[in-house]
Amino acid sequence: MFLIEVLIPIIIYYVLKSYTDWLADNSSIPYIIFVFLGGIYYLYIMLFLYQAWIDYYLDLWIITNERIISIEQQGLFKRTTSELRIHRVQDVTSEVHGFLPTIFKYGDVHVQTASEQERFNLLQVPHPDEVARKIMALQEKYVEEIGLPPSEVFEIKKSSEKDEAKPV
Amino acid sequence: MAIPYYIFLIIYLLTVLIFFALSVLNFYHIIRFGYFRLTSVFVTFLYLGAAVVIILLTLNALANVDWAANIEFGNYQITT
Repeated sequence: MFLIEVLIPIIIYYVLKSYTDWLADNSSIPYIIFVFLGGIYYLYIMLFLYQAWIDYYLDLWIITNERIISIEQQGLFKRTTSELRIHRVQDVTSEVHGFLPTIFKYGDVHVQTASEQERFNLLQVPHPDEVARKIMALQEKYVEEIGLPPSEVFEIKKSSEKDEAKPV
Repeated sequence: MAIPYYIFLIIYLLTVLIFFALSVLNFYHIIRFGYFRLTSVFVTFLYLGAAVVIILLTLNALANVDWAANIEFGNYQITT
């Protein structure tokens, strides 16, 4: 897709040169406009690529034995930092979707918590299966060593009571 | 009525100026959030280098243009 975008002005140049005489004179108005538009087009493609790279490069996820911290850069003026305590992790899904992610072994990791909150998403991370396994292992270790906090136990009990109360 | 050629040059330079203003915002993000490492320095220089090459190629392609020339249009004469 990117290659097509890069080739567009070159294709237009050869089509115009072959079928019209607009670009024949190096100092004619159509030639000047074409060169300026082409230059601007390539400059802004570069800018778009650089911005996309920054968006990716400034995304950061820190996984410790107590919490998962997500720092996400969204566009130029939005930066979100969120934190999730590891004991709140309920299940973790890793997803490798598409040709390039399969070849280069990267994908998304979705972390589901006990609450009804939005999933915690780690996007385009290398080796997502390994990351998912690591998070689950850390969660199990945390619960084994420290146990769930009383508020969390209460919440789980409450939700299981609710499930039991449902008519079958 | 006549429009001088350099008007196109001014419009081009304005868009280049906007490009550099947006680039500065991007550089600010790279420096501000503390990830000014070898990778980011390398990519930033690559980006700046490519931008300079594009601008130089554009201006080189238009080296023969006489910017003082005018586009003439609308020279109608009404005769009675």
